[in-house]
Amino acid sequence: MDFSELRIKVKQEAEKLGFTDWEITFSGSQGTELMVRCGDVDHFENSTQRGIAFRGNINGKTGYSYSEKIDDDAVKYLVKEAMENAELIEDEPEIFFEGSESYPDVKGFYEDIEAITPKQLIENAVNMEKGLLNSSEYIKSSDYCLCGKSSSESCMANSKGLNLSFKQNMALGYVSGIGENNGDIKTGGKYWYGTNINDFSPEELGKKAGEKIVVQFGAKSIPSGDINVVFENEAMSDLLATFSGVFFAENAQKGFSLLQGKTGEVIGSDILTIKDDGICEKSGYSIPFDSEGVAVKNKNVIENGVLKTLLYNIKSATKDNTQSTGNGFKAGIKSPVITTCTNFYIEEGNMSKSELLKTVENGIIINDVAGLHAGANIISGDFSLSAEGFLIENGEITKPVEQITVAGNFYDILKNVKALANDTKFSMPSGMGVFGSPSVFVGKMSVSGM
Amino acid sequence: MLKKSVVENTISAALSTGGNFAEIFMEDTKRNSISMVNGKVEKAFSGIDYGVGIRIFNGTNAIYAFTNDTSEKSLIETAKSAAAVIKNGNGDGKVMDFTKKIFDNRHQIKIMPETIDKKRKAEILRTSSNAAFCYSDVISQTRSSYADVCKDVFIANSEGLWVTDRRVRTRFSIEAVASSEYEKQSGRFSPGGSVGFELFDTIDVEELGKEAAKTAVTMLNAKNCPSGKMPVVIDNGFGGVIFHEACGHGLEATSVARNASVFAGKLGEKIASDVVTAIDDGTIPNGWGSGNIDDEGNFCQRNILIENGILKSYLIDKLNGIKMGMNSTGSGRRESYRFAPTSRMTNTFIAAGKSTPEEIISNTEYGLYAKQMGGGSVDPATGSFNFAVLEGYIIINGKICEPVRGATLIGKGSEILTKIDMVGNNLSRAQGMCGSISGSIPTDVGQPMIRVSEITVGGRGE
Repeated sequence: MDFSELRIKVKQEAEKLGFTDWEITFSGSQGTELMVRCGDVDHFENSTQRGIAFRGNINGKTGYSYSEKIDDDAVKYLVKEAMENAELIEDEPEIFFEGSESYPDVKGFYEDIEAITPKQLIENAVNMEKGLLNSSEYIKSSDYCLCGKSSSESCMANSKGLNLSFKQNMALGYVSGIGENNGDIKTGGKYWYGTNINDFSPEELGKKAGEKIVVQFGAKSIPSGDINVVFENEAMSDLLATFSGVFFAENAQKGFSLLQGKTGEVIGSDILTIKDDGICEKSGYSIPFDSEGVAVKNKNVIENGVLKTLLYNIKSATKDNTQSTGNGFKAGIKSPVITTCTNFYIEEGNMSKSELLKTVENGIIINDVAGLHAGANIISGDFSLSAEGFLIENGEITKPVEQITVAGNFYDILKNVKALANDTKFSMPSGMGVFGSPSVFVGKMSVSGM
Repeated sequence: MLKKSVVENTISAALSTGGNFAEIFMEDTKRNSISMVNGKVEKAFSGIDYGVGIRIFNGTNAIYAFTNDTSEKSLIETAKSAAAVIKNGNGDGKVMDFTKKIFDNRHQIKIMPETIDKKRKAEILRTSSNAAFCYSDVISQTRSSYADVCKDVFIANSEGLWVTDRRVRTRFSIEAVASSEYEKQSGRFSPGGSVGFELFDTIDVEELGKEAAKTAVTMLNAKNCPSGKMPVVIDNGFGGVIFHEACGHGLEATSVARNASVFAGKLGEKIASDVVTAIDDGTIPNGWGSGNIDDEGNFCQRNILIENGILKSYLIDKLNGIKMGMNSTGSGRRESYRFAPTSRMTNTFIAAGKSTPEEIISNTEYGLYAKQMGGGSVDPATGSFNFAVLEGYIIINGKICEPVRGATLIGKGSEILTKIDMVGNNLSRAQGMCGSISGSIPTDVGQPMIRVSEITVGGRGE
């Protein structure tokens, strides 16, 4: 059944049962992903996935359903289940969107990526592993050495006449390894993703992963205390991703964020600007519209410390009497529309990382935090995370540090930003969006170690 | 679910380039969920997960492919494209005659969730939410949810396996948030099992709402936890997350087979103190992490992992079993057809010891009492773990004193095991979702109250 046929059948069934508004989404993807170990393909995976999701308003309530079976019975199931689910809802009905005035012209699908053969992927993975193992005598083995490519297609249509589709693809590589020096075991990894395969240098990526591992040998804990902390780019973007929910209007409205009513107020340091942009060349991830069919926007969420806007989907925007910011996304056919980021990033500063370290003089730079899903209280902003990194002494990186926890509060960090480097790094795209940050000096924090 | 001829032809296609084992896993799953925020139903969802995964072994290498299109044409194409990855297979795999695997269902369902009106399910959420709000004026929010799933699976392989199983699970969850002008703290419970709607005959959702609220209120008024090394008493039930994260993952063949675990090569060796016996038991009737068969079609087992401190067994799936030269322990699990199975935990717990909880507390001069644990994570290569304490108290002179918040426990699993010096007699289990390379699966963690002589506690207090 193709999408236009599906759309007609859903329309008939939905109208028959009394839905006043309806929406059908098709989502399909194909991917190849493989892992190499000791020069051989260890795992190989091919996937074809498709599913349909239904959302509709009946008697002033919104019901949801999905199916990975796509046939006439599934259409009947979707509409009937959505009707029963709608009966339970004690919330305002959702608003179905007729479409934005215009959509940005986004290229998402690249023939070069589509043309990559499994053989090339294997070669790339083998070369990543080679780069890793040759980087140092201390690297004992690769841990994960993974290459892949994927393409996806989404189509959506609704009773308001919306009829959109978008196709995108990308390739990725991830390599991590295990190093050992006199019983001291260290791990680490590096990733690449993008739409231009010529940007990808597998051997170099492996080498960088190896270098990242060996510099950690001899890492020790440090005495507890309040000390200067720099979050390196990747660690900062992990932290930003974890607390991104505090910027969602739907969380603020429900009291799950302390930013309710703070728009227009100073909530951060005057050098801090945070953006959310659906189109971002540097991150390699761009999309023209969200899961509600709203065109994406480029906006400053925080501008020089002032909270300019929260992130909205149609429902939360209606509650606050404003417009959606194009952040209404579904994590997949199984999820309702929630709020997520697109490319959410801290705007970088002008100084290099080494210049930033000079302004810090003494402290630590954290390059890895663990336990973000457990040690962070999304509501209060409090976190206490186990961390790794390096000592900064007289403005230079010196010894590796491990077995410490760094504790603080996300809202305080926004206010305490003292300096920003110009080394922005973006995370891999996930259902939550893409997150980016340069290395950030956040002043003194409570660190506990020995 | 699939015709015999389709299965035969698909497995033949999978083995056509010389693979030595091929397997088909099919699922047809119906899910329902209802979520409530502040006493109002906000989302209700239902859906069908449906698809087939095909796995081929070429020696110790594995190829996996999956699709939602289950027509014979699609399955054979999927199998062929996966088989094409094998270059020089030795070709000893062939399709054996199928023998239907028969067993008695150990996890009988009394009330199929689909027979209960959705409105009744929503009322349960309301009861619990109301109880939380009634507990205290400082309870500002509640989130509660209900979910049921009925998963029909079919597994066949080139060794003649042909088996079907139905897995029914139901889970309830309540979270209460207490707020002051500056702070928010939460408490939560999420009980569930391989059960139907009879879950609600065994739990008191009103009491759980009240208890969640109590934790939130207690923590709202708590001081920051002091940091440093100290003895830690971890209570029963979800406290077992320490063992799950810090040791359980390291005992999975997934990391042992590739020597990425601190427990690799240590079978028969002393890895824990004498008082520690640990078990992974997939056979517990109606347990959240239980099954009749695993996702490779092997019967679930009760596996003694550690006995009086000695490492007795790993958790092993078929592929890693080949790599390690060992048999499967019935531990091959996966979230869905989208994942190749690998060795995973089921219901994993530290067995009951002899001490009463009162003895453990009164024998602790100073330390942290972790009454309720949050989640955590671990690096299996190093065993480094961290996890959050949801509800904690300071122990002074053998007595539980003031509540403390914001504590994180960090350390290495192998070190903690040797530092467990008291094990209580009050074993209980709690439900969680465990994420790893074969996806997110239901697992039970569990333990009696235990004392660890020293753990690094991260906190923000003096």
